[in-house]
Order: sequence, then C-alpha cells, then structure tokens
Amino acid sequence: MSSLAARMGDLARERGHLAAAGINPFGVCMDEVTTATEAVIGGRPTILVGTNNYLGLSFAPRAIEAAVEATRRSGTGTTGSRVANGTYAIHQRLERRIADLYERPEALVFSTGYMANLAVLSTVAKPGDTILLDADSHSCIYDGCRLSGATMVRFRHNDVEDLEKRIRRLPKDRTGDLVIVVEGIYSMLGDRAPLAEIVEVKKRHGATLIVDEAHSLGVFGAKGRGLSEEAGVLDEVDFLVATFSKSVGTIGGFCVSNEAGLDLLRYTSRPYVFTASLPPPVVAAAIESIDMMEKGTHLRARLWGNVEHLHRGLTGLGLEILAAESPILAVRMPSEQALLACWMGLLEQGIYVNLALPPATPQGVYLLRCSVCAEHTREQLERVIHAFSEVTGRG
Amino acid sequence: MTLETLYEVIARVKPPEKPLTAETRFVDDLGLDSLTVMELVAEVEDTFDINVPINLLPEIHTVGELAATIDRLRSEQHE
Ligand SMILES: Cc1ncc(COP(=O)(O)O)c(C=O)c1O
Repeated sequence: MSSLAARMGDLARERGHLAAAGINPFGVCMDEVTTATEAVIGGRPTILVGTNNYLGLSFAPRAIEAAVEATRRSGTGTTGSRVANGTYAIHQRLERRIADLYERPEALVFSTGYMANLAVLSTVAKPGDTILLDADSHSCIYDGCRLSGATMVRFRHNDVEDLEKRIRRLPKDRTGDLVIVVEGIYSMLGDRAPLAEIVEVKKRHGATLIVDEAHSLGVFGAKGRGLSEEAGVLDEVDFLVATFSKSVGTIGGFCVSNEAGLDLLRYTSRPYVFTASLPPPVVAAAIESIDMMEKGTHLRARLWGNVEHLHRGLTGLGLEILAAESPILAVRMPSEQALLACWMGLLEQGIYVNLALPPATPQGVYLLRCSVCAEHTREQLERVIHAFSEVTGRG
Repeated sequence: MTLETLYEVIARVKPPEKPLTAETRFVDDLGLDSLTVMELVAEVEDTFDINVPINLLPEIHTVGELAATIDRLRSEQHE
C-alpha cells in the first residue's frame, strides 16, 4: 500500500528538489579515474577534491603490484565467509600486520568499515546497557547501536559537558554497562573529537570507549594510527575501529582492542560471519598501504602542507571553513541554492567536491566538502582556489 | 502540566498551524522531518532535564504519547 517513494519520505522530497534544479549530485559518474587526484567526469578532465583518499594510496605502485600479483595467484574473490572457505593465509597476515601496528594481541578484519562498526557495537553492547553516542555519529554507528538492543542516548556533538550531564541523568538503579562511542574526525564537518577529555569521562564512570578512526587513520599520529595516537590515549581506547576505504585506499574495516576475547566476535558477530571475506587483491593492497601509512611521515607532511595551503587560499577569499587543522575542509554556503549553484559551477570548472546538506549535516548547514590529498600538487590547489573565487564571486 | 510545557517546547521548534492537543501527531499533523524531530527531542531533554533514549522514538506518534513518556522518564531519572 505504501510505495517505496512514500516510505522514503524525506529523501524523495529532497531528491525531487534537486532534480527540479537539474542536479543529481549523488549520481555523479566518473567516466574514468586516472590518478588519486584526477578523473574524467562528463567528458571533462577534473581535479578530485572530494575522495577521502587522504594519502593518495589508491594508486600507490606497490599496492597495485601486490593486488595484481595476489589476483594472479589466488583469484578475484574468496566466494565465502571468513568462518567457512574465506580465510586465506593473506587475511591472517593482514590481521597480524594491524595487530603489530597497534601493539595488540589481535586484530579483526571485516569486509567494510560499515560492517566493522555493526559487528563491534552489536557485540560490545547488549540489551540493558546504555550507549552514549555523539549526535553527529555516522549512520553505521547508529545502525550498530540499534542492532545491539542497548539503550541509545545521544549527546551534543563534541560536547563533553553534555555527555557528563547525560550520564548523571541515567536511572540510579541502572545495572547495565556504559559504552561511549565517538569518531576521530567527523566526516562532514571535519572537526576532531576532544578525545583526551572523553577519556577522562570514560575513566570517571568506568565506561567502555569505542573510537571510530575512519577519517583520522593515516592522517594523525607518528605512525598514522589515528587521533587516539596523536592525543596520546591509544591505551585508553577499548575498541578502535577503522576502515581501509579512506587513507588506506582500498576497502575493508578492522577493529583492535585491549580486551581479551576480541576473537569471540569471529563466532558471534553476524556482520563478520554472514558476508564474504575480502578478495585477495584488496587484502594484498591493504597490507602494502598500511605499511606505507605507518612509515608515511613524508605523506603526512605533504598532506598537512596542502591542507594549510588550501585553507589559507579559501579563507583568503572570505569563505567560512568549519574546522581548522583537518584534511576535511567543509566550506559553508549560506543557502541550499547557493550550495547547489556553486557545486555545479565547480564541476563545470573541472573541480569535484562533495556536496553535503541536511539530513547528512545539521539543520541549516550547507557544505561544499573538500577532502585534501597528499598527492594534490600546488598547481592543482591553486586551480581549486581560483575556481572557488569564480563560482562564489569573491576574491 | 507536562502537556502545557510540551506545547511551548513544540511551538518553539516548529510553530503549529492549528492549536496543539494530546492527539496531535508529529509527522502526519505537524509535518516534522527527521532532523526537526531530533531538535525537538534535544529541547525536550533540556527543558525536562531527562535523557530520551532514541530507541523510544519509533513508538511515539502523538504529543500525548510524548508527554506520558516524559513523565515516566522523569520519575525513573529523578527519584
Ligand atoms: C565515520 C565513518 N565510519 C565508517 C564508515 C564506513 O566505512 P566503509 O566505507 O569502509 O564502509 C565511514 C565512511 O563513510 C565513516 O565516515
């Protein structure tokens, strides 16, 4: 009786909106992607500034060679779950590599970061527990919390006082455990979690802390282990989750933990058990890229140099960028119309950025979301700044 | 009492076209979208000094149902 479109309510309305303006920002097709920073879109050579490919490793020759070699040797896919025919020696090698990187006894690899969050959250929390999650958490964190059956309480984005307040309000006769979930860098606004303070709260209340380092892996810390490393709190993070789909330049997710018994997820966690394992070329590429990431001090130096350059250029035009010192530069637009016009204008000038609008962003927040790559050249960034000045009529 | 305060909170978040009653439905009558719902919940939490777990939201359709939930949460969280 209710059509799919009716059930999708909000989304259908939003899309109708955009379609009326002749825009389908969520249907962009890359005719060809030629490097970590370049593509052809609609026949036009385009600079990519919206990829999450922070270190540019998706085209690293070492990773490509390893992927080709692994495909030749072991085929294009495993055609099975990790608990059946889908665990190859190379999967275990990748898990060992990650465990060593984090100096943990064990690491678990999942088929995506989404699956990793579903698996970890739904296993760590159970009905009767309370999960306190940042209101701006990624959808897969919300989904993982729902799957756990625990009580879900949101706290205001990056607001440690609000988190404390919500813990104080919990029923006095509460018996279950407390779990706090935050991200390293938030994917839309690009801002960082106040991890050191959150760790203090966690310790004070005996809570379990889960940190999703999806966008901060590779970007922060001497070894690129994420914001937890940069903030010096790796040992206080009970479960660290991340993805290979951003800095690592391929696909997959992982979790490391201080807790004994992480291994149990291999038997109890549905998102681990009931999906096929990563194909050999992906696993081989991830091993190489994680190695390059760990030793990637020069990549991080280039990335941060580029961030500074683009940040200075865009703020020099009088544009508002939401968070400083982040590889995600979220440029705020005054209205939906301005956002759509500028986004289209940039695309016509051969610049691809992400378009972010509610409900992916808070109400009234319209963003041209740029993600910077270590492989961007100064010349490319100058072209990006120039295009921004043209489409926004500034500078 | 709760209901009166709740009417004020709702009016702050989204001024209603018709007077609010306990039977007013959030989606069908007030046309709240998912973001406005979250904003309303945050306002309710601050006004009544309670946590409203988001697992409860799918079961709350009317203003009266929200008021009853608020009363229950207040007694649980402030005994
Ligand atoms: C915070 C966060 N967690 C998890 C994910 C999911 O990662 P994956 O692409 O590996 O499923 C994303 C990516 O969109 C993300 O932004």
